[in-house]
Amino acid sequence: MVSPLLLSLRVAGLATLFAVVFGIAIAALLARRRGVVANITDATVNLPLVLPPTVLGYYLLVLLGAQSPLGAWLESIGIDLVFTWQGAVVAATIVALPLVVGSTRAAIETVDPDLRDVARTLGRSDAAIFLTVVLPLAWRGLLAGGMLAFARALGEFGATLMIAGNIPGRTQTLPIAIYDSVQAGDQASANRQALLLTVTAIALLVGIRYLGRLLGGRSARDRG
Amino acid sequence: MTEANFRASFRLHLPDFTLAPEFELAAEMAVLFGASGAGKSLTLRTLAGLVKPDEGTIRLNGHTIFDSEQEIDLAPQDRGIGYVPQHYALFPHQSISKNIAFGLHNVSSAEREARVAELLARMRLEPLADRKPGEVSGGQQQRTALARALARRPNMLLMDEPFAAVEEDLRAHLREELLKIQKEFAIPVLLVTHSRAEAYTLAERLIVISEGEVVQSGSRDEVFRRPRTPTVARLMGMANILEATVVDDSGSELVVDWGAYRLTIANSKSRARYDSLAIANPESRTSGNSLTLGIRPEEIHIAHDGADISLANSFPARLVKDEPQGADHLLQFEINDQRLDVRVPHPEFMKLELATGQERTLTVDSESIHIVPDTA
Repeated sequence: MVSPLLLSLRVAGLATLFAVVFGIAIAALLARRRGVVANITDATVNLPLVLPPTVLGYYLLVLLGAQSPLGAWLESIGIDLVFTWQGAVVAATIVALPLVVGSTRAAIETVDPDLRDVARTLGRSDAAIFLTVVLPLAWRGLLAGGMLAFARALGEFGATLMIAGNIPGRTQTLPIAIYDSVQAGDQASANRQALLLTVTAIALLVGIRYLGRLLGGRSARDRG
Repeated sequence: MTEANFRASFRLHLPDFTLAPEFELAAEMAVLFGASGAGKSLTLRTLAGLVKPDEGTIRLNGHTIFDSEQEIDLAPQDRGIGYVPQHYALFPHQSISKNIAFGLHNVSSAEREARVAELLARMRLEPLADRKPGEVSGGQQQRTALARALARRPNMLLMDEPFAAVEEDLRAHLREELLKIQKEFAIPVLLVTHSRAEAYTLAERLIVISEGEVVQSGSRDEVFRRPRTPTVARLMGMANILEATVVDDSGSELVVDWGAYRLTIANSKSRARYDSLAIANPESRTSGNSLTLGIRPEEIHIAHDGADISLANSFPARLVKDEPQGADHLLQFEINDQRLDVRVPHPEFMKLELATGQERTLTVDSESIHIVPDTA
């Protein structure tokens, strides 16, 4: 048995981690390349922004279910994503991804291209330049993206309900628990859970702002 | 001239512009000079490997770094060419010493520290080693960028407008420093500028670029004193380009007609000898042939009101515009339906008591008239 709050934090935390890692890679690709591949990637990544979460969840259910080749293959290597909390992580990652990609990409594009050019003449590989020059200068965008991603993942409802279901103690995240309480007419629980989610979200928001200011103070001086 | 270390000849086609420079450099201080949009910065970026030309060859110290036919195109990482872009592009999040060490990732840490320490000392940046680029002056930023490029011991150095971000008063000193550094490292240094004064103080070799092509390349004095085309003449400050017709050539003097006025050009040793110029072909100086002449605005004298106009190389002209430019006045006169620019220092301008609309006698020394051999 995992409490809905802990499950929500675990799902949102892992989803943010995955979204940031994949998001940076995709943003780096999109900031550098133009063309068909970049356009298709761009459109695919941003699809969750325009698609209703239930539709997205339905697609995930079909794609990852045992009837699909991908689902069958995942099952054969012992990964079951349907009606598990891991499935909820997949859903939350996908809905959070466009937020990370968008803000990271915008931040990368503001880094002076001359810096990259000079770094190349100084013998550094593209990967080294990305890690030592571009990312350190674009971290604000990254932080903002991560924050948005976490908030979005924490509140994820539709797609999560579709793929992970509503199994108390296993896949019931806080937003789903609230829905469940309301359905059951248990207003006291609904109030408690809603307040819990609100307080958690605000606490995290304040915490990240504070962290950002700590780091930001140093960086603002760097710019002179 | 010393043997060429560097040779470039390439074409780069852009939608509305073609860059096609061709030049050679020894281990010398060379200035790539031209108007804005002539292709100077793009040339540097191409040499550094950041832009790929469509065709041509670039060779440095006997190695081919680019050859379209052999399909050789070394990456910027492998060219051994240091590059200092405009505004220096220092890494704002790293200290001065980290900036200098940036390109030393594959030398031993002892060697890296030694080189950084040496360059910090050489560039007088030691007290600033831990500061960030945003916390130091323009001149210090420039020296940091220079040190960062030199730390890798490049075989050539490219600098784009290196003095643009430096206060006027500091520039003379920094130019001297740069000349010293070029001698110490003994590599070709190619510097881009659109400032004639900067080109003149720095250049051993002057490469003039216009509309994507090198229009003249030579020693500084050669290019300044003997511009080969009207474009180069104008860029070198010979604002006045006249079309004249040869009347007579005595060997020591060339007599030409410019509109209604007669001018004599001295064949002197101190200036560009006209018989040693590309118009060596004596036929071009036979009477009736047309000739392009160049005169610097500061080499035209204005006579005081009422002075004798029967002097040689004198003609009346009307002042149409007075443009004060700090210590000088740039005056525009009209004569022969043409505009002549005349530059006079402020004190002299005051003595002349000039007013627009006035007619005055202008005089040019016979040694101050330059023949521009190529009209193209």
